[in-house]
Amino acid sequence: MHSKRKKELAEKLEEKRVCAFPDEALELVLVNIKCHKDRNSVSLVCKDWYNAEKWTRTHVFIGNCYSVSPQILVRRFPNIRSVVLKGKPRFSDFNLVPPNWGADIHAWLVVFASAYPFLEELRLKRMTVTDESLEFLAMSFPNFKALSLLSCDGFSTDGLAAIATHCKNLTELDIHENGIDDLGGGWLNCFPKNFRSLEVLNFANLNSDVTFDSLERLVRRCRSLRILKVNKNVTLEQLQLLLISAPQLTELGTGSFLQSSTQWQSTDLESAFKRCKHLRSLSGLWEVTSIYLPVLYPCCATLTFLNLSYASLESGELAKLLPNCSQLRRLWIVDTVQDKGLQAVGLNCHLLEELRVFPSDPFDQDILQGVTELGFVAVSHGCPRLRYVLYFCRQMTNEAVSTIVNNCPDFTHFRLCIMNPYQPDYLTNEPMDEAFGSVVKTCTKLQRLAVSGLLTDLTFEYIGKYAKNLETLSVAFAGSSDWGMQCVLGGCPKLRKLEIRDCPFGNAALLSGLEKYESMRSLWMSACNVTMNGCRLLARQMPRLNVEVIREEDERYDSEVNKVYVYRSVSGSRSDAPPFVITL
Amino acid sequence: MSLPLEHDYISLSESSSMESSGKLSSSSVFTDEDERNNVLNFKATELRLGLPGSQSPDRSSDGMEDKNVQSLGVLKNLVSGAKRGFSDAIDETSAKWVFSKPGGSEVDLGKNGGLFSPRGSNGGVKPLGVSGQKPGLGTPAGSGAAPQSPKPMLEKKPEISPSANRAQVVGWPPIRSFRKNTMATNNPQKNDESGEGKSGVGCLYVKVSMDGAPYLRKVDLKTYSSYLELSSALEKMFSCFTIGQCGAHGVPGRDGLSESRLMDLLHGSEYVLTYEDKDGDWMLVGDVPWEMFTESCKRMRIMKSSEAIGLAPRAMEKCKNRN
Repeated sequence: MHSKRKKELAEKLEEKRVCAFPDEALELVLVNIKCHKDRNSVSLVCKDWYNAEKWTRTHVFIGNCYSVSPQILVRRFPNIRSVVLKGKPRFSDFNLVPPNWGADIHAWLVVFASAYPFLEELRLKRMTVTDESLEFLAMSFPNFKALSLLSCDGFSTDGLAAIATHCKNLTELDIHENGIDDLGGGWLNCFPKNFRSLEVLNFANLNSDVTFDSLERLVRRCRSLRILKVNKNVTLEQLQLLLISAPQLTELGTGSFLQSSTQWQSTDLESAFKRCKHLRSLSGLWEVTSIYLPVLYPCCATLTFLNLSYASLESGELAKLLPNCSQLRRLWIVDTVQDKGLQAVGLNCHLLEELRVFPSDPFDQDILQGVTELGFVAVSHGCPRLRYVLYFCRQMTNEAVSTIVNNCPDFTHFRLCIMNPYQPDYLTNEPMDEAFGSVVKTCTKLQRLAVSGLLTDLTFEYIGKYAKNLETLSVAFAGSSDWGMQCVLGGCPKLRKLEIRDCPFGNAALLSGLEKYESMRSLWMSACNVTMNGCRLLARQMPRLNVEVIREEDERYDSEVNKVYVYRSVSGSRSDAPPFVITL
Repeated sequence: MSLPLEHDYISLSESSSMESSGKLSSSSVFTDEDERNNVLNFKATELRLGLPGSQSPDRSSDGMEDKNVQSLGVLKNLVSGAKRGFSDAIDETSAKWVFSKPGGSEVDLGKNGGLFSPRGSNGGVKPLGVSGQKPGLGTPAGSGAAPQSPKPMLEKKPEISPSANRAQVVGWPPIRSFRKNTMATNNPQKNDESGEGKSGVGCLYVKVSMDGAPYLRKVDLKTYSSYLELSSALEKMFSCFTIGQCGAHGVPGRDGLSESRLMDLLHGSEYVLTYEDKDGDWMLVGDVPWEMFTESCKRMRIMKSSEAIGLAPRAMEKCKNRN
């Protein structure tokens, strides 16, 4: 037990307080409560419970790295082993946040090094991580086990080399979709010869070759490896060798699914796949052609997650593959499968809970190749358990969406992206208000909503009135006036994240949410009608909010605000803000 | 249309372009209203021509557009400058018409309000190619037709993603960079230059647009062996969009070429089928032998015959030059 805690308890005993329930017992119980929301509730019961909870919490989730400082964190929770930190606003994924905005992990690591020397896990999303930080991490925490970097930037493969070299107890290295400087695959060779603890290895998004021999030996040594996701450069022949060494895999990300030499036989690959009886998740499949898809069929029976989002399959290919995948819960595909392919989804995957359809040609406005409302409707008919959808399309109708949510009322995440902004219902030419109206009216469990198409304030009236469980709302090119945003801020009791771009919402709308923002994680508004005065007023009225205006070089008019980011914080305004971030 | 008229279109000043437009209008069968519309549209498209990302046939295949390069590209091709402007019009038309809310297109227009490219003057041909464009979208500074609240962003500098194929708003559609970059390299070659469709498979996909239709289609030229097959297939594909099938609509100024089989097959309607060849010129479909057509066709457009004035002579010219 932590020495400080022992002291605390000893002092309590001396005070001879009547304690019906010994703290040690309480702690033993609390250790088993993992969910941080439950833990938050526990800490509110009384001082004893607060302390017991404080000392037994080992995992902390911080949704906005600027909402709290590392100093406050370590004081509040002295015993942390695992940290999840999220940094930049989500729209930074789409280049709306200038580089060097912040969210640098280093300051946190320095504090952790002294307060949490036994730190084991660090999972970062949209943070800036440098090679120096990675090296510092690798050297400062002897027990370090799991590193996951998603959508981060600022580091190179040299940083990975440092991790591989120094983290003797590493179980997880998950490098996913980052702005990484890929200087070569040599980092993989840095794992020591006797290193065998790896359970998760994901380098699918790195571009350079790794030395296959090193990879194969690593995979063979690490008998507990359950998740392996390799990059495009690993060939089919090499994949086969890996599978032979690791039939215990539960999640596999293949490399390039294209034969490179004519001598090699695909039957060997098929039997290698057959040996993987525990496969639940399959991804990668870069450049897969219909010739090699059948080798997957035997192992598809146990799959619950199939990620074909980098494989541009045609409808026929998908239709042949899916009958083998009856257990599928999650499916990610590209719209090259078209509506016909989605029909096959509806016919075969009755247990489907999550569907993501990515566009193959998002920036070509002309083409109507891809999926339409018909495909979505077809899926909804066959997959009543659908609760998560991300759908990119170029046409939609109010009626189709209404049908869809009637078939699938359990949606928790509904993200519909009609790719051409301001597009109305293409059959009736009306706004898409009724579509999203039916979503919020029917799907009472809705937590996340992204809207698109031609939308008036009516959509937001519906959202504000009906979306009682909504936590995240993404709005772009929508609304008619301030009233729309006011409706959302006046309703939606559980709203936590609101991100808005290119909408006619101005100061009146911004200021209508004064009380609301403190119960939310953050608000993002860009290319709206907000001015400096409005932001200043907000900042003045709500001192516990950070109101940050991002002013880029080319903006000439001082009163204009192109981008504003508002979030609650217990640590005051940022001390590391770059010159283009103006804190009001 | 005679060549001298086209030379007029090449002049770089707005006023002379206006004059040209006036000339054009007077010599066509346009009604007064059409004239006015054409002038309006002409104005609109003249300003729109500077839009980066509007595809020009001499672009590099990766589709990376650069405003400056476009202007240079035009100046380079003064003789066929009219055609270049024409192809721009087609791109603008097909790309922008879905923006029914003026605000959206205003963003794009506002972006380029200041970017008057010399090509603007080639707008003399513009009235021919601006079908489908709503008059309300005419001015870049803001459309009076906009019923919605005005956006201050009109005056702001636009954010144009340099990696987009067309004039894009930054970060839209919301696709993460990794996926963007990956799909760009994964996808088979688009039919920008060579007319090649999916690599490794024997197809020849070309885009077909139709004036007034909300979206394009793609057809595989290899699946047809004659103009007959192609035109009936297209007819089927686009029949839902044909607004009115008039009787034979003679187009003055055209010679025997207008009596091509394709015209007939389209029931002598107000539409003609045209295509853009490897040189970036727009020709009537049916002029050349089928094989030559499939090899040189980059994309097709079903356009109103009233706008196809000027194509026929050019096509003949080209044929002559080829032979």
